[in-house]
Amino acid sequence: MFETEQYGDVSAVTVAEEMDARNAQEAKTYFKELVGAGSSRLVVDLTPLNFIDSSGLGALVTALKAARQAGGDIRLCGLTTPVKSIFELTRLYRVFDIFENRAEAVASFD
Amino acid sequence: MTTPEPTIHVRIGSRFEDIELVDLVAAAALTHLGFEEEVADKVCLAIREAVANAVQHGNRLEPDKITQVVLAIGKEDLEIEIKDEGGGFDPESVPNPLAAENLLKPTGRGIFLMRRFVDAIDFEFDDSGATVVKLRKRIPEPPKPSNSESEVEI
Repeated sequence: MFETEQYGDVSAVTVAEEMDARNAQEAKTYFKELVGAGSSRLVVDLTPLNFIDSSGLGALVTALKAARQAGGDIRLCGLTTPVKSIFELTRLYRVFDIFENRAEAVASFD
Repeated sequence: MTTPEPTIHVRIGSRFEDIELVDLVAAAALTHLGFEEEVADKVCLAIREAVANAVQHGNRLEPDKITQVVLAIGKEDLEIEIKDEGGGFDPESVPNPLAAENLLKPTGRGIFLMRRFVDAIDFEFDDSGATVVKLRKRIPEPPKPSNSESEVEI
């Protein structure tokens, strides 16, 4: 479901095409283990994502809180139009820093 | 004698994997009824949220408990009914997910999204304690013929 690449101490996680009730728990576990292993500076690349529901949003919020508690953060990039509209509707653009692409998101940690 | 409304019935066990079946059926019905893709996607999201709630909170992911979905195609509206076997809940007790103090809460956005993407939503609780969520969406009017007399240039 996820692929992770390293850019120095920043981990960039690419998600699947859907984040919903079916895989939200898997997502929570993945991010929890990543942060637990010391990777709290995270870029989550949502480019492949074409569907997200409230469970998927919940998984990202849970991951954000864990990363911030560990002294890091989660920066998002690659939001497709339907995903962007969900973030706007739910006002989650106010709690996540969102970037156009992965390079900008990774560079924002400098 | 009146013609009965066409209805589509889907019964699934209470597993997240089964939600996709409901989504496939609903998407096909919405396309058939002439909904634009963007609108259909939003209605499908509302349905998926309701079914996920039924499966997870109503039926507690017990696979032998049934979640029933009925799509009733009326003359003007599509009504979608989602029923679980659970113990009910108070939809008014769900805090506003847009409030600043709730933005970092991992839950509480499902009902909000449902309300945004359909025209009406209603919650009913039957005698057994089951929750019935009723969603309603107005069916788009078919496009008028483009070469009507009034549009013909003389």
